Amino acid sequence: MDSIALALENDNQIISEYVSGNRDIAATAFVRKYQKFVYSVALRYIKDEDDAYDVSQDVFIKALNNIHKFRQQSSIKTWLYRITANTSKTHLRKKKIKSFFKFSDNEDFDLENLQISYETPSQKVEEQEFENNFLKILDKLPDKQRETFALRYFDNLSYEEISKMLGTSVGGLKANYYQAVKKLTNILKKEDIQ
Amino acid sequence: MEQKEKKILTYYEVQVLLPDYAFNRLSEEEKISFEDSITSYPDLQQELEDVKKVFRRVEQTDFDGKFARKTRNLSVDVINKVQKKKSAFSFQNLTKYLVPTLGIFIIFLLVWKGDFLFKPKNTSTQVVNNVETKDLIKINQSELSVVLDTLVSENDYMLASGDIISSVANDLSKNSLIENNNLEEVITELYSEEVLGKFLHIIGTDMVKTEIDFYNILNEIDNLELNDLQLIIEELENVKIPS
Repeated sequence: MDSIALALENDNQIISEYVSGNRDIAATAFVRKYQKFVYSVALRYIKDEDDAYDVSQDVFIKALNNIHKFRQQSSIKTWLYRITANTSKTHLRKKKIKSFFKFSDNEDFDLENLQISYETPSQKVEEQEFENNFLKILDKLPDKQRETFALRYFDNLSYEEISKMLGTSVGGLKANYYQAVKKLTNILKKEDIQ
Repeated sequence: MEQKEKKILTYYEVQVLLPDYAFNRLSEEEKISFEDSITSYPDLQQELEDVKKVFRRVEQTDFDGKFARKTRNLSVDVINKVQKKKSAFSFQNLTKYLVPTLGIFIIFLLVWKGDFLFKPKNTSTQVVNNVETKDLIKINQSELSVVLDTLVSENDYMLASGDIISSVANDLSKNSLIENNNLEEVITELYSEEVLGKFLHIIGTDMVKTEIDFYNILNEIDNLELNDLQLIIEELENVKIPS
């Protein structure tokens, strides 16, 4: 099944395979193609790796359930981005309500994770630290700047595509991107982690 | 060949192109234009150097690999979850569709059969009885005797008796299933109807003015014992009518 799934690269091919009944193969191809994108978007919104993973699953289930309705007026990435953003926001709202009634024990869990990471070789630890620090700094940016930066820098999307996803003009996006890069540069320079 | 005139971009234009130039995302044309223009803005030149320096480290970081590692089992988990949801779907359907359908059916049944389920069994009889009692008050025993004591001709009486007998015979032949204990009631009812019908015909509408009065008399006769009726009939048979 895996080799067939890998052969399905074209979005139209994936959709037609899914609709015609080869669901598992098409779903595998679809998830593999967009899993990093969906997960990274969810992680930026939710800021928790486990929750981002769960949300990513929900996003793909929603997308697969509605894939026959996809009209291809926008790219699948744009469509998935919207689903991910909405699902993440809903998840955050639910989490907020839950945390209002119950104290979470996330701190203990994070500490445990940190101890495990110290067991890995020092270079890897350093790399992981930088990754985590960078993502934390990214989180400090305003939402629009953060999303513009991530979609342009990590996902290599065009301004036109990002404009459809975020509902902002191309000119506005360019300004946001410049501001995001400038702020990140300043913070990283100050923290001297470059 | 005419040399292309250099187009110097504004400060703002250089600013917004700066990140894409730093990360090598500009087209050749944009790149040339940017390089020609940035020399006019030394502070942006410095900024570009900082961005390049800081992001050199960022570019070495394998974010893509990190996300790939984190989502390694995502496709398997998604498919498992989809299959789990499929099996749960039938139960969801049961609660989602069957319960409301059942509710609607029960409501429909209650509306349709409501009379049988909720109406007290004796209500209709009680109403009829009430009406009968109320109506009976209008015509009392003395008024009834006036009706019964009215003079009728022998011929009329004989005709009425003949009709009664024949109708009773007809009815008995039709209702062969009438049990013995009901037979007396049937005869009494038919008899009283026929007799009174004939009487009304004979005495005209002066004595019994409305249909209600007629049925009130019938009700009165219903309440009489069989012996009383027989006595009345005997009395009627012995009536001597002056020629």
